Parts: sequence; C-alpha cells; structure tokens
Amino acid sequence: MSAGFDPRIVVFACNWCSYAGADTAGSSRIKHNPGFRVIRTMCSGRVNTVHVMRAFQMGADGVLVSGCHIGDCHYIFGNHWAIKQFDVTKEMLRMLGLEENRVRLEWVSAAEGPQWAALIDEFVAQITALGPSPLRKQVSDEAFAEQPVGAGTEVSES
Amino acid sequence: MITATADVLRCLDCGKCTSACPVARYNQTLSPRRLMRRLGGDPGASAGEAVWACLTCMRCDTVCPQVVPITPSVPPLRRRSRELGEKPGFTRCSAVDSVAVLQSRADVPQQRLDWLEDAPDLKTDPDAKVLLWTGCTPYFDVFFAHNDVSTLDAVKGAIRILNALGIEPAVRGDERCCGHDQLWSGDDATFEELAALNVKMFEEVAPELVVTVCPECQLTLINEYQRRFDTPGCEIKHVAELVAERGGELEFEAQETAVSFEDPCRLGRHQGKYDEPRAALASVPGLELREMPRNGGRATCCAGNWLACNQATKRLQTDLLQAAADTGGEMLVTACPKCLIHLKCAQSGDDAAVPDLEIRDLADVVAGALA
Repeated sequence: MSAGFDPRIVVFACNWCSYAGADTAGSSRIKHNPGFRVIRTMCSGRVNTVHVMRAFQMGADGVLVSGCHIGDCHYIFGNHWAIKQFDVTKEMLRMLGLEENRVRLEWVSAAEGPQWAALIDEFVAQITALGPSPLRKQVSDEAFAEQPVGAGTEVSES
Repeated sequence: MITATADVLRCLDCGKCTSACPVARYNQTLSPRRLMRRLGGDPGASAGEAVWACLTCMRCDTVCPQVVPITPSVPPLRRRSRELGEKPGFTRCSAVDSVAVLQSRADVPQQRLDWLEDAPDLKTDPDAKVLLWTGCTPYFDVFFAHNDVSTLDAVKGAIRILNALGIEPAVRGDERCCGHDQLWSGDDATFEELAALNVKMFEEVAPELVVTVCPECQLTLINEYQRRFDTPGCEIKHVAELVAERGGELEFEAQETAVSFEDPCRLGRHQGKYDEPRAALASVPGLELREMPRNGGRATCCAGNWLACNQATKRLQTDLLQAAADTGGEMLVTACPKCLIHLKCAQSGDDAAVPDLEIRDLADVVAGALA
C-alpha cells in the first residue's frame, strides 16, 4: 500500500445503540482512529443496498454498518431486516468486483464504548491494508469532503 | 442540444399525444402536449416534474399527426433538467442506477457468471463468434430476489434455444451494462463510459452475431453503439427474432397452454417488431396466443419507470395484468427482463386488486417447451 493512504470510511450507526456507543467511547476519552465519518440513521434496518452502493459511488473505500445487538433493537426487528438487506448488498458488491471485507455489519450497544473504539481501529486498519477501492473514481480529498454524503442522488464527477 | 425547434413547431396542439399517453391517464403532471408546447416556447426552461414521469414508451409518437419527435425529445429535456440541478425522484431501485455507474468504474473483474456453474446443461464456448448478451440480469436477480424475480431464466432459456440450434454461444464476464437507462435519463457521462468499455470488448471479440434477451440492450446496441461507434459490426438479434426465423429447426413437445403477450415498448414501438415474438410463440405447437384488447402498437407497456415509480405506474401495471387475466390465458408472456421485474413488483404487495397471474419470459417459455 502506498505510504500516506488515508482511507475514506463511511460508518452508518443507529441512533439508539451504536451512535450512543460512539458517544460513550468519546466521553470516556477512549483513544481511537479518527479516520471515519459517521452517518446517524434511526435504525440499522434503514441502511439499504442503495446507501452502501452510493457511498462507494461517491468514493468511499470501506463502509461499516452498525446497529443494536440482536434482540436489543429499538424497533424490535430492525436489525433482522438489516441482516437481510446487508446480504443483498454484499452479494451485489461482490459481483461488481469489490473485495468482501470492505463492508461490515456489526452490533455495538450504547454501553460498549471500548468495543466501539476497538472495532473502529480494526476496521480502519483493515481498509488501510486493502488500499483504495477499485470502484473509486479519481475524486480529490477536497472534493470528497465537500460532497453532501447521502444527501443527493447525483454524484459530482470531478 | 434540444430537439430542433422546427420539428417541435410543427405541433398543432391537438392533444392526441396526451389522449394516448398511458401515464396521463392516471398522472396529470405529465402531458406530452404541454411538454412539446414548452419546448417550442423556451427550449432552455425547465420542464418540471413531468419530464421524469414519462415512460418514453413512444405511444404518443404513434398517434401524432404532425410526426413531432416527442419521445426523442425526452432525454435532452432530462439532460437539461439535470444541468439546472433538478433530479429524478429515484426510488429504492436507484441501486440499479448505482450498478450501472459502478460497472463503468471498475478495473476489477466482475463476478457475474456464477449462475452458469449451477446450470451444467448449458453449453457455452468462450471463443464462439455468437455472443449471448446477458445485460444486467445477474444483478437484477440478486436485487429483486425478494419479489421472486428470475430474469436469468430468460438468459438460460436463450442458451438452451441456441444449443438446440447447434450453437454454443460465448457469454462474457467483462460485459458491462449497455447504459440504456443512463442514456434515457439524461446521464450521458455514465453512458459514454460504459459504451467505451463495451466497444473495447466488442472490438476484441469481433462477434458475428449478438443475441439479446433484453430489447433495451438490443435497441441501445443498434441505435447507439452501431450508429455512433460502428460496433459491433454484426447483426444484433433479440432471441424472439431468432426463434421466429429458425423455430422450424427446433423440436418441441406439444403444449396445452393459452397465453397472452405483452409487447415491450423497446421491441414493439421503438423497433417495430410486433410479428417476431408472435411468430416465435406460434412455433411452439399447442401454445395458443390470446391477444389483449390493447396490443401491438396500441399496447400499454409495463409502465416501469425507476425515475418516478408511483401510484400511476402501479395502476397501469394492474390494468395490464387484469387485461391479461381477462383473456383467460394461464400466463402472461413478455420478452423483456425489465417488464418482468416491474410487473412482478406490481404483484408483490398484498393488494387483492392485482391479478396473481404467472408471468414468464418468452425465451424461458420457448426453451421450456423444447423436446
């Protein structure tokens, strides 16, 4: 891998568990890799194939979807739906030629600050080792930072 | 550039287009007449929401007494809308758009031929000069699995038909989406990228015949690839045409089935191929075709539109399925994987008003009747 590769990692975290878990990690001052950006969704079940594929379309190198543990979903069965959708997502990306470990589905509860920090460190290291996504277009870091992630259906191709 | 203004200025404002438009029946935001009037006025102005609601099915063009190019004006209008910052209201199915965009990117090998391993009876030959174009069917079957959609049945059927004719076709893993949807939705940049990759592949393979199961792919390969890039330099046939021509060489088991046929807009009105699919069905002994009242040039197509999928398109699909059920046929046959997806989607809810009729692709039906 080329030196100084700074992977672009998109993390979808559910409002009730994982986002709060990230908060716990932060307020407990657990040091972890800052190289990721979080998009809060109300439930991991909200994250469908389109969201993950759009992230790769917009230049992401890895996507992590995180929700409540099975049985703990705020909406009872949202994370079961997340598993179903994630299976489709993984298969679509595999067919498109993407490495399987660029996407991950994980469960982190609101209390699991240390687990969140460990997961992030592990995922960032995993993506850094893989290098830039083959699906990534030549998008400059500045242009990528300016993209309204998840906001539009159009991707500015610069 | 927007369609030459002179063509649009021929419009007499008679409204025949809007009276024939299937969408306008249920969705008043779209009126082809108003769309053309606006084009005649200020070609630079936004055409608003209406521009995404159009199915580009060409029903309006068939009735226009002044031969105004209505449907051909839609992609430039959409391009203009995109330039003005307007966007189609993509549904969840925009994943299909993403699949095309991501295929235009990857330098990595796609894994799109796994299904071949599960069907060992299909004979293919990587060096063959007959190329079977699979289109996006492998992706569709993964994404629409929840609606019990299997568009690969058409592809497998086409291979079985070719095999029965003594042809072992080539199936390519480096094939990309033809870019049909991108072209028609005004996303020219993605289309150009996909086309460049496919043109390179065609030049490498130099096929002598390309067989498609999808009329959209066929239309795009003929109208865009051959006209603009001069490739592939061979005939491009829909599998229905192939069966219509060479059905006599095939041996069938006699059937006892009555079916209705839905004319896909890209095969029928866009290419004028109404007789070929009917001849293909007629080549199967005992397969009775019961026509729906609206058929051929007057057919309502599947009304699928991933740019603006809504209640109006659902009602059109329900009407079509009802008309098919009313023929008394046991099955609705189509000749387009996209029609299959859209009609299966209409059936997927628990809406009792939608007839639960079996829908199958023509290639699948013909191959299923092979002796």
